[in-house]
Amino acid sequence: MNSRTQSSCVLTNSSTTITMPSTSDTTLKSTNIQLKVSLEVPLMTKEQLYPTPSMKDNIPFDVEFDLRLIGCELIQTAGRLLKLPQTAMATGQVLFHRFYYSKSFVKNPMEYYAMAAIFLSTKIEECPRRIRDVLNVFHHIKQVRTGKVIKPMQIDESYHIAKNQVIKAERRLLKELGFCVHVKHPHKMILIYLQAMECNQESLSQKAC
Amino acid sequence: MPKSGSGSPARRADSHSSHHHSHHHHHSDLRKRRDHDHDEYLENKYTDLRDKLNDLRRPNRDRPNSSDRNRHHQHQSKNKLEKTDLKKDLSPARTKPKITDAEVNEIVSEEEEEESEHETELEQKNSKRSNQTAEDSSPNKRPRSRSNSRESVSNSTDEEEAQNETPNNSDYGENSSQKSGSLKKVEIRTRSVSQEIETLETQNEIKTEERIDLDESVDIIENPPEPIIYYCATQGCRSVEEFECLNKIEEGAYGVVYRAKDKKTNEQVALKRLKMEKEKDGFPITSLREVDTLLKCKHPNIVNVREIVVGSNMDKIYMVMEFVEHDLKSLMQYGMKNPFMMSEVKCLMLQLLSGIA
Repeated sequence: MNSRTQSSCVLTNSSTTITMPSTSDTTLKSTNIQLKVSLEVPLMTKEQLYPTPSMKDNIPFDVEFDLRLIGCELIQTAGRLLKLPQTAMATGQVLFHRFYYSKSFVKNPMEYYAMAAIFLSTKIEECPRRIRDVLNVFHHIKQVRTGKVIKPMQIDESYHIAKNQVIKAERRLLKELGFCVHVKHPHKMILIYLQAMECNQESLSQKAC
Repeated sequence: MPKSGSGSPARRADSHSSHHHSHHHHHSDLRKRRDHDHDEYLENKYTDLRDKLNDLRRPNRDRPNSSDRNRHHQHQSKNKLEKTDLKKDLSPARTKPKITDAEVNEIVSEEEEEESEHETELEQKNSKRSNQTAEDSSPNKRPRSRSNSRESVSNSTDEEEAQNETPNNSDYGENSSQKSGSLKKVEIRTRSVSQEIETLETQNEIKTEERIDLDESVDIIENPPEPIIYYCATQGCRSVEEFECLNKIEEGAYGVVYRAKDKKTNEQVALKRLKMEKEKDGFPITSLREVDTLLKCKHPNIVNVREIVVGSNMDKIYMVMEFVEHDLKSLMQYGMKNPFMMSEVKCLMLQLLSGIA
C-alpha cells in the first residue's frame, strides 16, 4: 500500500502523464518479498563448490581439474606473449575459475573462455589488447603445442567465427559474474612487504609476484 | 569412552573413577544433543515422561524410575558428589543405599521439590557438573514461594536443607521411612511426573504462541526478518524481465534511461541502457570502467548503481540505478521561477563536493 501511494506521488510530480499500472493482488502480495541484491563476491559454500556444474554434466573431477589447469596455463602463456603485467593474467585466471563454478565445461568450450578471460582482464587491468592479437597468440600457442610449422593466422571465415565466439564468451563471462569482475590480488601485499623489508628491486618484485 | 573401554588394569582397579568417566561422557553427549536441538529434546522428554507415567499407573511396582535416564543421572551425580564431598565421613559401603535414601527423602518430604528437581536435572545438563550447593540452592529459588503457601512442613525441611548446604542431616532423619512410605512415594511421584508433563506442555504452548505472535507481527509489518540476498557475483545477472518499464526519462549520447519498477519489490528504479552497437572489440572498455567504478561507489551523494541486468539474448545491458526525481540541470534550465536562494546553493554545493571528495 505504501509503495502505491508513493508512486502516485511521483507521478503527480513528473510532467508526463502515464496511466498507473493496475495493482493486482499478486503485486500487492509481492511487496512482502524482500530482495536484496548484493554486489560483493561471497564465499561459496561447500555444496556450491563440490558438485561443480561440470560434474553434473558427467565430467569426472580430475578431468575438470585438468581442464582448469590447461585453461590457466593457456592464459598465462598468452599473457606472457602479449606482454601483459602479471596482474592481468592473474585476473583472467580468477575469472576463468569463477565462471566454471557456475557453468559447465560441456556447454562452454574451454579455449574460447580462456581467450575471453584474458581479453576481459586486459580491459579490467587497463592494458587493453586487440581481440585480433589475442586470437593470434592463441593460434600461435596451438601451433607450437601440436608441433606444426608455425604459420601466420589466416584472416578468413573461421577467424570471424572465432572472434564472434570470443565476444559472446566475454559477454557471458560478464553476465555470469554479475559484472563483479574487479579482483583484489594479494600481489599488492607482497609489494608492500618487499618495501617494508627494503628490497624493492624491480626484478625481485616481479619474481615474487 | 574409548579410554575407559580399553580397560587398563589401573583403571579397572579404580572402578569408581572409570564409572564416573563414562558418566561424564554420557553427560556431555546429552548436553550436546540438548544444545543441538532443544525442541526435539523436549519432545523426547515429554514422551519419555508419558511412558513413565503409564508405567507408574500399573499397581505393584516398587521402584519404577530405576530405569529412567534422568534418575540415573542424578544417581550418578549424587554418587560423585558424595565421593568428593562426603567421603571422609562415610564408608564406601554405606554410600550406595544412602543415595536412594536421599532421593526418597526428597520425594517424600515435598512434591514441589520433586518437580523442581527435574528442572535442576535439566539445569545440571547445562552446567555439566553441578556441585552440591548449586543443586540445593537452585531448586529452593523457585518452589519456595509456592511451598510457602501450600505446606509449611515441607517449607521447613526445605529451609533446613538450604541452611545445611548438604542433605546429610535430613537424610539421616528420613532413613527409616523409606520402606513404609514406598506406596505413598509412588503416588507422589506419579503426581510429580504429571506435574512435570503439565509444565512441559505449558512450555510448548508458550513456544507455539510465541511463534504465532511472530508470524502475525511479520504480517503486520510486511517485513520478513531475513531478506533474500541475491549475489550477482555467483548467481549471475538478473534479466531485465524482472523490471516493468514505465517510461523513458531521457536519451543521451551515453544511452537511454528508463523509469522502471522492480516486479518483486515494487521499487522504482532508473534503468540505463548502455550503448553497445557497432562494437568491434567486444565489451567497450569505457562502459566497463563506468560500470566498475559506479559499482564500487557507495556514497549518499552519488547515484547508486544497484546491479547490472541483461536483455533477453545478451545484446542489451542495463544499469539499475536508484531513481532520483529531478536532475539539477533540467531544473535550472526549465523549472525555476526564482533562482536558488543562498542557503539552497550552499546545501547543493556541499552535497556536490562531498560526492566528489
